[in-house]
Amino acid sequence: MKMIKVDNNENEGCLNTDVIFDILSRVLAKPLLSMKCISREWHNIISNRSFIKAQLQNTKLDLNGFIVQDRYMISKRDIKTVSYIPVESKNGAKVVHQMVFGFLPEDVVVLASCKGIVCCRSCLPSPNPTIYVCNPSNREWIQLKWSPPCDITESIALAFDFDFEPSKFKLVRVKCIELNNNEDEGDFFFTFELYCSETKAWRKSTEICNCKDDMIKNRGIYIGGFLHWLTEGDQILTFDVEKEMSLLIPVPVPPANELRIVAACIGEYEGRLHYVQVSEQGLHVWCLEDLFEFKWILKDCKLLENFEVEYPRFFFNLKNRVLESSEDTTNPWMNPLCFKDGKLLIKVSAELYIYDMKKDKMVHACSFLQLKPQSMSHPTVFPFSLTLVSLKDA
Amino acid sequence: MAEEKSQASSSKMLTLKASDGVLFEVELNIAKEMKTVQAYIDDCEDIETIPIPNVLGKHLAIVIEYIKKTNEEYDAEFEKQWNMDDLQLLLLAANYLNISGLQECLCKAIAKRIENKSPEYVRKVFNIENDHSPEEEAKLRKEYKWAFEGVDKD
Repeated sequence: MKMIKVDNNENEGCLNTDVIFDILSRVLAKPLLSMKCISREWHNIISNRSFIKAQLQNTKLDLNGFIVQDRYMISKRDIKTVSYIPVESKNGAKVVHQMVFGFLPEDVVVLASCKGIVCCRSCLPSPNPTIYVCNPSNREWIQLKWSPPCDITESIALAFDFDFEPSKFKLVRVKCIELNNNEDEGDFFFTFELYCSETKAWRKSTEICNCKDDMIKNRGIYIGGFLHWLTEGDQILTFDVEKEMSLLIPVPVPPANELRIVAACIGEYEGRLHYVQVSEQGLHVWCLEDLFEFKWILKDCKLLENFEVEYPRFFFNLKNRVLESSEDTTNPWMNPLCFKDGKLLIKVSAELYIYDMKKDKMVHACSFLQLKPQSMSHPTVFPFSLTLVSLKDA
Repeated sequence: MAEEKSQASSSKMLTLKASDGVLFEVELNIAKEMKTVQAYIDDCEDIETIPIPNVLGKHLAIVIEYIKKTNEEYDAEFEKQWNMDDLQLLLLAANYLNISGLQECLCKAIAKRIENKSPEYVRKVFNIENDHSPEEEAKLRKEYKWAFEGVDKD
């Protein structure tokens, strides 16, 4: 039984460390980072391993921002620009940060973001291609060799669950290969290679997936043991990380088949995979209720006309512009770039907006030029949450 | 019916004496929710008045009411009535009396109230002295600037 000596001071109770620990373990990661400067004791509490474990158990991860990675150009040289757009900014300021990954030893290209941990790689061409797994919140990182052939188009996804002793994760490297079977046309397959943080080794999986379409928006999303990638052909490549089995999930087909889907993206919300599409019928958000049954449920839809009416300053003649641009799939007028936890980062013309599905509210995030893009093709965007998780155990 | 049952099995009443002398008569099953009190009873079976030296009468009253009424709905509304000072004192009481449900409820409430506040405000609330050197603090603020400041870095 704990007996706590407390000053019988009617005006101010001085809370003891145990109680402060309990309170802080229920605070989200982002404010906790700023609370490190309150005092040395608080700094120590917040950096403590058992505190971090308690905090991870007591709190849910919040979507804090979007990492925007400029994509390589036709020359197949990487572009080094990585920007960060916070979801909330003071006084509605248009905020963009660069140099978020400046703590790493070299310029990087971001590959994946999962529960606050980010996977990136050296920019190509590189004399010593390396993969980094890092936590920008505490600037910790580990590096692994990126074994050749290093293809600028390949995707490496991060599968990370909260396992603290030690923090384990897996990386899944997906490549698209062509196998010629003595006919004119080759057959395309996805191959998988797995890295396990426990064994610290890469291993080629025997699983391959026959798919004629390549991945787009090139990032794998990890939900409940499965990784998902959107492909060009309206299928979602899905990989069971534990069982090393793949399948292709067809995207939800809207009722009218003449519908032209202009642009789409996938993302996680409430532990389920969601598919966001822009078409002439507007913005639709679907939720995958049953993975193996391919059962999609429509969660939200909004007509383009309604966007125009509700936000006349942002969107003018939206529907026509969207339809006109539907011929050119490389740069759609309205392009959903990233979806997470009900929030969508969407590019419309040269501006970026964040649409909050739950509140049905659209805010202007920043102008595309603020990201200092060197490529006008759409960037790869990753959702990001601040977390205190330490990689030191991995 | 349920009330009768509990009264029959724990008809024994206990007196709790707050630090300012205020007395509270509570049923045994209510008092048992306070693990500190439970331990006291286990030690001295015949006791009828238990001193609670660290808790004022007004707070003990609130704590007892919480134990009687606690459920999801009550908990959600409970913390809204109290200001920050009272919340902290109630938390101290819950901690001393070892009532885990109340402690969790109050910790969550306080966490929520400090989440969006400046470090200066939080220091005031908990009466904390800043023992970081100015250089240390400046370094920390700079390190996490991208995470929480609304200032354009470039």
